[in-house]
Amino acid sequence: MQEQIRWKRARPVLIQELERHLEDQRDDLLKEGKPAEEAERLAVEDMGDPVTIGTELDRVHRPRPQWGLLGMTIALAVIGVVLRVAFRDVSEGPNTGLNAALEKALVSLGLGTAALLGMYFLDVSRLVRHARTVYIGSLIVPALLNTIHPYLYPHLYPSYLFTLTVVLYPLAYALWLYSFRGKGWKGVLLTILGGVPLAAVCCLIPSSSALFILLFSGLAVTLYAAGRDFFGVGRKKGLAAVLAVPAVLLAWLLSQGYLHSFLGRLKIALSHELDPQNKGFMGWMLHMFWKDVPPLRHHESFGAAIQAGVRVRVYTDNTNIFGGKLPFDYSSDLLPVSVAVHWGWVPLLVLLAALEGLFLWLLIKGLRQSYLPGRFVVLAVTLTLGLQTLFSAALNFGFVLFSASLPLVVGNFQTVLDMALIGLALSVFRGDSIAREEPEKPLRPRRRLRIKFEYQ
Amino acid sequence: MELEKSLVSGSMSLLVLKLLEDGDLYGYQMIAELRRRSEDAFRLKAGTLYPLLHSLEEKGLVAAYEQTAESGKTRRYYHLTKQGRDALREKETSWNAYARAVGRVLKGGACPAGA
Repeated sequence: MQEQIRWKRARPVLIQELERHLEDQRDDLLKEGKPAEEAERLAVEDMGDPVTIGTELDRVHRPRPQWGLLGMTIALAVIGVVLRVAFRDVSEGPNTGLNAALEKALVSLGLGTAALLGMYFLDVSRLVRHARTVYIGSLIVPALLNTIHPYLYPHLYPSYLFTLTVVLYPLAYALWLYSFRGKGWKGVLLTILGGVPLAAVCCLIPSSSALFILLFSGLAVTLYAAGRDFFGVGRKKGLAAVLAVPAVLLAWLLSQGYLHSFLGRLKIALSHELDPQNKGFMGWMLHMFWKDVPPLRHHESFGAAIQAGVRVRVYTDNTNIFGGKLPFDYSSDLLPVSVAVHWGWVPLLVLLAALEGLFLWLLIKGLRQSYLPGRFVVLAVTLTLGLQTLFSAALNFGFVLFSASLPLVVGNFQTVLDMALIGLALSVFRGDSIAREEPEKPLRPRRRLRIKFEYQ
Repeated sequence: MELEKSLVSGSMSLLVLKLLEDGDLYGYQMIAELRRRSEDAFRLKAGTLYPLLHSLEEKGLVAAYEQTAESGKTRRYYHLTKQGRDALREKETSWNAYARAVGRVLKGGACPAGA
């Protein structure tokens, strides 16, 4: 029968259910007084024709390919390569750094595609089975690398590696949460406590956008779980307990004065002219960039459009904003605004809509999956990338509250991680028909049925 | 009495959905319950039931979860979803209409008025 099921990963899952059925039937026949050998033979005979069963199961259980979404992810990453090259660092002159930027971007695209496909073909249930190891690893591995990297890369700031891997934290938290299924109030408490070290790392970096994304996605996933009585404490009680956490946190922040400082930051973000020389400086500068940006800037050819990207300094010289000296790294978080300045706001809007559309589509599709841990994974991944896109859009439109990199576009290493996360979400869709949750109670050792399924 | 296979196979998804209307069951229970309720007329084979259950799950009409019993045996229970409940209503209505129509034909057709 096994040979009829072409999807190898499906075989053990499907065989297990049939084996359990045979065991039940054999046990009933034994109770009726049949000898053990006859009971096993009758159970197998009553099953039906194994070839037909295998063929029927094969028809139902096929991987659900996600080529369209994989293609869209790679297409967006290719756009990211073009943008990173076009808007590269040209501080040494308009024609410098092309080869190095292209090389780095192409390596990132290659590694990203490998990560995307590698995660796509990964069995998510393996990751779920080792949820706590993944969680602990997400804290320990960057900490170890962080300890040794000052010797390897002394020019990088100390929390550099944490900054790169922090995008994985919502996923690590979602997996951590899943490991407390049905564990009652102890599970609720440990789940929430699991978020503390991750949040602490975000504070130590410090990265307010990573912290906000972690808190928001963590709250969303925990509420989603509590709403399904995931912990076994009751739906309403679970929801109330989870909602109490942000309430307590807000009260604490208020008592410490952090909330007041955040509200001040929000006020400046909304009206940069209140403090144009200091906290509102970046907002004011972006406001300058957005002056006279047309829907579409005309260029003679595609090559000329790409070339326009390297003329950032010329543009700033002409507008005399900074006397040709840029106060920040123009090729990173503010890359999207440079797209608007040189190509018009329509291409930027199309890019942002394509990214948000992809993440929203993944989220909607993810919530329809039957495999609960898979839904947690997709929720964490899409909220992380969707919020990053939203924050990046806000920043580039002049609402300077959080710094954020545009997923699949900004940052070579970041693109590899983004593609790996999307691949993981797609692997949930691919293997949903055979993904099985572990039963809540552990199996007690018992006599296994020795029936071979290799008969024809 | 052994029923003709073709008569049973067409209505099998209706019967399985109906069994789940009263509560969650695992495969072996379904076969036993179907046999009991049909007074031994329906002897469903596991090889027929599981592909059918999996295709109903694929369509979202049933959902499944695993649970370990006191005995230590782990079973995969099937649960009728809201979509499955709606599908069951529809299937029941069309089956009843079909059964009435077949019944009328077998009895020689409807009597003309006044006859």
